[in-house]
Amino acid sequence: MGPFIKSKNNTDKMMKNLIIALIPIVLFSEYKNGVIPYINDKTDLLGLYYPLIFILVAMISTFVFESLYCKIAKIKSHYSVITGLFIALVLPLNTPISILILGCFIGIVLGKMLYGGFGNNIFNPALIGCVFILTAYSSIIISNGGYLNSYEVDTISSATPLSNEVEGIGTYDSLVKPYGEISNFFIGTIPGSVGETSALLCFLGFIFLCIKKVIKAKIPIIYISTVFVITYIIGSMNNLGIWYPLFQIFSGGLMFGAIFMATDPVTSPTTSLGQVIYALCLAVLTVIFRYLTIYPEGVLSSILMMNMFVFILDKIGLRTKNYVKKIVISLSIIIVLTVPIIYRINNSFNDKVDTDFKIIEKTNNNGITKYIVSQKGFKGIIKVSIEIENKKVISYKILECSDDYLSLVEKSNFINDLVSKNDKVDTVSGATKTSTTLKKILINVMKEEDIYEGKN
Amino acid sequence: MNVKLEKNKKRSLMSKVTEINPSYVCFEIPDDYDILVNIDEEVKKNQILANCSYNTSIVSSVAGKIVECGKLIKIENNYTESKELVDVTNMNKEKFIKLLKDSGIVGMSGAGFPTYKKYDVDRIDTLIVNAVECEPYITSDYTIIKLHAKEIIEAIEKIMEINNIKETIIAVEKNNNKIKNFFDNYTTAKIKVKEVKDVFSSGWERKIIKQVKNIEYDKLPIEKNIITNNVSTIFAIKRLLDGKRLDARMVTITGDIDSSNYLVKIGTSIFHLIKDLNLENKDVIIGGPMMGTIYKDEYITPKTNCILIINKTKEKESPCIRCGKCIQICPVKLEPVLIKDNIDDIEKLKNLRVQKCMECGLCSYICPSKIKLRDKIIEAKRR
Repeated sequence: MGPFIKSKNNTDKMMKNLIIALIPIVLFSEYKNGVIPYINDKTDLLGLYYPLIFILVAMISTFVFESLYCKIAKIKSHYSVITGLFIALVLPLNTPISILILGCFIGIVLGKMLYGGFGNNIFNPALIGCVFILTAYSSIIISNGGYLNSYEVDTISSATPLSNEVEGIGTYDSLVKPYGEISNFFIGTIPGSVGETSALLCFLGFIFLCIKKVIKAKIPIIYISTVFVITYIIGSMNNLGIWYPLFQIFSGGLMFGAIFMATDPVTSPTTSLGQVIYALCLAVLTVIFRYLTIYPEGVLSSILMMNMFVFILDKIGLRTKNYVKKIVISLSIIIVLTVPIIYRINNSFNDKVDTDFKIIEKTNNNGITKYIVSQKGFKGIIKVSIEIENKKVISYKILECSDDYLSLVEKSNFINDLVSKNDKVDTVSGATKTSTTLKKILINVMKEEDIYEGKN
Repeated sequence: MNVKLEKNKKRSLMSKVTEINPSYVCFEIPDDYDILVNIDEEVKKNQILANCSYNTSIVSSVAGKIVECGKLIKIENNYTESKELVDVTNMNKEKFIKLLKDSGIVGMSGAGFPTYKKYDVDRIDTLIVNAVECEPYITSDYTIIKLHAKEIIEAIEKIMEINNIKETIIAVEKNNNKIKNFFDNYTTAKIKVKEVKDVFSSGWERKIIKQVKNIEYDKLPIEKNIITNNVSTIFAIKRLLDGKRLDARMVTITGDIDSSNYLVKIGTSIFHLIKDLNLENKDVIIGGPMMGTIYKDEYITPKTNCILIINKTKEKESPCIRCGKCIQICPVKLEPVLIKDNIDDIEKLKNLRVQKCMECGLCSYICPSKIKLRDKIIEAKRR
């Protein structure tokens, strides 16, 4: 039976075009993480080629795992290298190779093959692998250097841009300044995972894929613009400029995730309305993850979470008689739910009284005021003693802290900087949350003494 | 989303029309028809061979002796032309419908809906003449317009007069080789030519009416006092109004061979038409490349507009990647991929409105995994 002519497009071509769109991103990553550190004598010859090796290892291991599985289960193998490529691009370069290979195994076997192979998987296999690694082995990755490459460790004292946000909505000085200007975020010369940093190249890839009709263009457009709108509202409520929503969409894996991961054909809705709702939910979830949880990044988890609902979204998206009704109802539900979320986010940072902060003891001795205070940290209570003389902090001692990353803080010059520079010190990469809390304690004490000059 | 297909119309566009008058013709008689002739009887051209109370009669396209009479009526051609004409004097609407019923005229674009039924209603405001021919390769309607634009307009004027029709719109495809220009000298206030988009499925009744009149209907266009006729059907009516019943039609024989248009007697064996061609590694398709069917020893019927002979393609199916292209492209707004997924669940299939499918084949065409979605949906429809 007909039709006897078929479109020239086929799945192989679509996947090839997807890889073509990713090539500039791979090359940029090699340039940023390999060439620049090498030129600046921060790494050896292995380090020069390490980003490429890292990506190749992931691609080869997904290929090997899928081929082996297919041989045992006697099914056909499809496009396994793309999963590996994505896993490598979403992870930080400092992920140990062994963990990378483990992630590839989890992604291919648990994320793809156990569902019956390509086309049957519910979750994006690359995301399964990545999220598994990032949750189970984050401490290893962080102690290995986190998201900073060998060059950035020396030039940029802070961790990924988004992690600075944990302490509040943030300011231009705290969010953008450490990395230069907002254009650096667009071009991609900021710390981040292997492939996600360059918004420009992601955007070019998006245009290419749209021309070649490979991806569902609606999803990234709605996803990114909704995040832009929500963060613009939050930003303008706090008198922040247009740079703030731009910062939000250019940083983290948003561009990369929205364009390449959320549009994965197998795990995203097929119906038009389904795609719209999917993208809107992704945007709202990403904002919630970024502002209301301790995880600064939100894209990967949002996509993984929404993958679960694709089946339901497709059911909603059927173009039956009451199609218009369905559009109106579903969109209004999302909008109605988003408003209180924005309100909640805005309020959560405007709380003037820090309820986690407690003054345990305050003594005055020869003009030196000694505070023993406690504050809730990343894990449990942190107890600190601070001495102030002549409105100046003269000592800062950690009495009690159960955070794992304290050693990282102690290794760095952070405590001394706190005493000398007060709140104008950068957080410690890899121990962002801990160092932020330590800084917060200082600020709270300074407020108590009425010597704090910074903004809230 | 719309698709522009590779038209491939140029191959047969400028060819000369060859008349084909074969040595014998055959008519397949459906079950509920009454056969009016006997074996060994000499029939005249235009004689009614079989009729049916609710369908168009079957008419002999040649004069000659009946050599087979049963499920199949076979007539040996003696190449004589009868001068006897159908009585077309004192024409009124009733007579017009009776004439149409006995003439063998059906929708000649491929659907084969009996034409007399369309006119057998109380009130018709608008006649839409479908000259869109959106299937690739086919140029039979184009050729008729090229050769007979004037006669077509004359026929339309007569039809409008007989049926009290207020206006006629001739729908042609944009960019289809200046087809519009053929009508340039003949359009009037009541007969207009309108262009529709040059995408596939533009020629579908619903889409034409939506595009030229901006009207939507539920089941049949007559609900809104509109009827549509294919341009070839109009030309057949023109011949009827001159006293001749349907005896031949324009057929495009095209594809990866020398392409041309032929005026072929109804009932000609298709085998007779293609036997001299080299058919190695080629598929023979009756109808257009999108909606046509594979040739299995058939005869030319009033609705056979094209015989397409194209190289065999072997494309393997791969797993569905759920790209959603079939959903975007479906002109009826179905969800082919979900129908494919739920093919065993009759309740769900009802919910997915399977019965609405018009089998245009766009879903199979666009699928990057080359899944035969149309076949799957036809299967689902049967359940």
